[in-house]
Amino acid sequence: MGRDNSWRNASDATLTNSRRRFLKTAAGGSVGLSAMLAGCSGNGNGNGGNGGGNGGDSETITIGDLSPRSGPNALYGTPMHNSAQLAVEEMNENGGLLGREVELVDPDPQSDTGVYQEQARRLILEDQVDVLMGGVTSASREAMRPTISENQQLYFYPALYEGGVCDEYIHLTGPTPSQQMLPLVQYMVEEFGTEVYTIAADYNFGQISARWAERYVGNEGGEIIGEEFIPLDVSDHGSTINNIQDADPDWIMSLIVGSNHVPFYSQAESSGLNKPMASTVSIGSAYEHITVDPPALESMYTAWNYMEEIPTDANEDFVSRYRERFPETEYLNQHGFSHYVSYKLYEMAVEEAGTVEMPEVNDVLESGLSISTAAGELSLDPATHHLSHNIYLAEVGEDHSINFLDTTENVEPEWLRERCSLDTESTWDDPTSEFFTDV
Amino acid sequence: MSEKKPTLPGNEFLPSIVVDGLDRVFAPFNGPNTIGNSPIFWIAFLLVALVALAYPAVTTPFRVLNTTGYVVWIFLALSLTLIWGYTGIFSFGQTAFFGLGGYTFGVVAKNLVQVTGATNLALLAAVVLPAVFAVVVGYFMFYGRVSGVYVAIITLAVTLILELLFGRTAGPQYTIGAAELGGFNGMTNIPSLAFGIEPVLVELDPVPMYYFVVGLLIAGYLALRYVVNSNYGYVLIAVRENEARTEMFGYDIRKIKLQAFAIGGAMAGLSGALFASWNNFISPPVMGIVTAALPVIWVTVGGRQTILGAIFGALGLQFLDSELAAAGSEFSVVALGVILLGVILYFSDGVVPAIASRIEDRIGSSPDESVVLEESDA
Amino acid sequence: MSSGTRGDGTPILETDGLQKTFGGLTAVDRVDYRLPRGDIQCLIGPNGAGKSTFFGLLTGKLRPTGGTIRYNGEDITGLMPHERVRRGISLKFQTLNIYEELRVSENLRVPCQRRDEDTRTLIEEVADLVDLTGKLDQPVDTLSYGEQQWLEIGMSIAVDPELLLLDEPTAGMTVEETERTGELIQTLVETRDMTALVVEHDIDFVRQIAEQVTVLHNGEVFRQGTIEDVAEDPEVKRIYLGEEYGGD
Repeated sequence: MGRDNSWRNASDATLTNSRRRFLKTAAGGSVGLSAMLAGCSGNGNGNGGNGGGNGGDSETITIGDLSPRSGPNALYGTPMHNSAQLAVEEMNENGGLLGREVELVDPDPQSDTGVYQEQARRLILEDQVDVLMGGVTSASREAMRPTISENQQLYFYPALYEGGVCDEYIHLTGPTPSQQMLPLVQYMVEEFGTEVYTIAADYNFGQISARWAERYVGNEGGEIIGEEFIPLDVSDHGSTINNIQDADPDWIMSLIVGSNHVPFYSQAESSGLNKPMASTVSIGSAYEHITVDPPALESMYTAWNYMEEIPTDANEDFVSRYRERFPETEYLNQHGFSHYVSYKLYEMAVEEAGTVEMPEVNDVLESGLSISTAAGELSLDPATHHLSHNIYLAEVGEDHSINFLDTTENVEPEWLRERCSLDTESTWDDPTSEFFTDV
Repeated sequence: MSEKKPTLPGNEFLPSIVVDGLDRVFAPFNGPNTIGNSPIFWIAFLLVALVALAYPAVTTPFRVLNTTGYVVWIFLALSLTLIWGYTGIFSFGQTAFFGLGGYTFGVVAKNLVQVTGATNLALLAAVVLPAVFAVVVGYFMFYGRVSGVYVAIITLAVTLILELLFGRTAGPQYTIGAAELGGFNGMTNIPSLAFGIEPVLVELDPVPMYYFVVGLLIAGYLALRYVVNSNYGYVLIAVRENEARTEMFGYDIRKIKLQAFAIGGAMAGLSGALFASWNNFISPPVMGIVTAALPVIWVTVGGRQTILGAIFGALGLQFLDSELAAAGSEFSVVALGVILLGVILYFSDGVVPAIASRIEDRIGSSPDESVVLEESDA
Repeated sequence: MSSGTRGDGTPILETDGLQKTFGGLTAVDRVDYRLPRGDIQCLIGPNGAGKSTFFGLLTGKLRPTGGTIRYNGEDITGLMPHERVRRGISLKFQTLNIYEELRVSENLRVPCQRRDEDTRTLIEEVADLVDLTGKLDQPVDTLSYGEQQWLEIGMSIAVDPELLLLDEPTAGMTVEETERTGELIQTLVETRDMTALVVEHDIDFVRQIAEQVTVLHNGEVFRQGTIEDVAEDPEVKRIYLGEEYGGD
């Protein structure tokens, strides 16, 4: 690695210490004053310390949820939102959490970074939520991170992302390319060949995923013979398709993102581009095999921590419960699943901790938890706060049906473990907050 | 020249010592190019300033933080008031300087805190760099005799190109010293404003930051009032009103516009730096098309030829937008459009001038608006 | 009203082979022109003769395609308009060019504040010269058209020029206003050491003020002389009549 990251802690200390000190005292002080002036307006809280704590009423437990139901990320956020409601309803049906009712505070962040920031601030400072859930893109997570750090807010992030977050206050339940790619690339190289053409969305996530692809393809003795980064607003992929045809690879690594990129598949189909494709982005999150007409996604191979089609009993039970509650669901994607897992993990940790006090809950989360989910048994890695996933390798058929080829169990976040040791090097009050991008 | 003073509004019931005192104190900031020159106005100003300063004591930290977040954007609106409202340069790209200011602050501050523990000169750098960039862009525009709608097009293109460029800076290779630019994800963990050298530090926590920003606003407001009512202000207005005529008085129009544009760039840069410091985060969409339209809308609704227009437009519309977003998501955009349309149709000069003239109808206009010649500055 | 040249007779303005072509059209065709210091001269000619183009070249709004312009002996051909104004040239535009949204005093302030003397005093002085003293506080749209023209004349002299270029200053004026304007220009030239070059169509006005008249036709100097000489010239009459038959 060879990079000195000690400065990150230094700058964060300057950032966070003073704010933390302030908000602890000011929360107590000004709340006292405003409580005097405003009477019982519900703004006050019992404890001013710790920068967080119970919501307005000390009986209910408040969960803040930021799942976008509008804007370009609604297709990821709507299943998340549904999962949140399902999870909270289930908690309350079972007598609540620690015998207390769970309240969901879930404003719509509208896929807008500014709204994410403001709502996060509101949830953390005004509603004083016991835990924060949500966010879709890395941009949304990073936008909220300063507020999360300053206020020592426990937070779960459910989406697949490029990997590398090492933060005391954040637990990440989605998959990362370094976990998905190994089984996928091994299969593709063995099955189809060593020459690979990568297409990727031209921003952090796509760029970093492409470097992971390069790394794993290289490890398997393969070669990236062409690499193309497509800006997010491009929807005509003719030139890319031509380039691929000229390069004539054995297979394509597809890391394209967003509604402008989805047409690539039907455009490729129409121009007769018949290469096998692999993706750690498509199918499981944006469910193109449902939204795009067959056979455009035929010969797409993908590896996910979750897909709605996983044929286990546990998953069939989960899917039927989910669809009974939300019959209009188009597809239960990775975001929906991982978000549900976030809630379940939180529930488990709170019950074991016996309190919603965030440092204690966090300690339990760092103790090496294992949880049964619809995708099997998953464990939360104490060092990196990432889940070890069971990775399902699948093939999309001509009719867009899903055929599962193989399952790799317990794929751990090894790369990040080399850099990140939250359980031993970071504490709640002296936290690590880093983002490694050096693939 | 008549020596008789017309009736001052409020003169009748204010003690003359108060009236004289206010006149004397605020005389340098009075003039025909600003709204509100009477003692009554300045009393209202002092009251508003007092309320603003007392605000943190009567509200929650969240609201103080939130309000600061609105106020930092006012300087962006003011930059447009200066160059568009007063000089007639319609820039659709002030967000370019805003973004440059924010990113510059982020880069410099993140590096400076390593050395001193404080951000110190980062704020200055964040004002200077956008100003220099404005000189470059402005030189090509004004010395290339670009005017009117083409200025709007070019400036819009500049801000969009910057958004694109900054969006491509993902990965550890795009690092300046200790600051990773962050590409599309943005630059995070930007330090808050802090002055001094370890261990003697003044760190601006939310409430001190609020006072700092509000103090800057009050100072900036008074400074702008002074400038626009001065000879220089008249030069800007003359350029706005009739370039050809002004040129034939010996004024170098290109240089005047370049100067005004550079000052506007500096103000927008200050806005961006304050925002980055308050938000501890900045990302490319601050230079995108939606953000670029915001100052234009705020200033149009508030009244672009008045300084108060920028302030009330920016504050009022941000507040409204936020309340609507909290209540019912996407309607906030629609509401903004409806307000903009309504203002253009019915109060084409903006809301603040409309309100001001109604007030004047009731209590009479202040002397400086009807008697143009005060003791002039030779 | 005509007199000989004042001063030492050196030309304040001189053009040498001045030429301006727009594509295929030659609007000003190798014009040699001398304007002695202290004179009041007029430039006349039918529409399309090149008068406005010539003025545009003098002010710097247009760049010549050939020839030079000398001002007080200095070659100013390459100078920008504002640089020429700073050397002492001033212009009253053909179409009314004042600050229509501002008051009379503010209109005068813009040129007056360039000078070293007290701005307020200067404004009052200029207002007095153009008979607008009582109207300083008024918005300019309350002025009559003639008063607005005077305002612009006032603005153009407020920069204290040596050479005053006036482009059709009496357009739209009544007979009385026209005569007053003529008197004003003469007073200015006599009392303020100015020279005036006036483009005009009103022959009576020309007769009132001009010491010398230059007739332009098709971009060339067609005739020069006193107004009496020129007005009687049958050739001059012909080119004026000729324009009725599409000589634009």
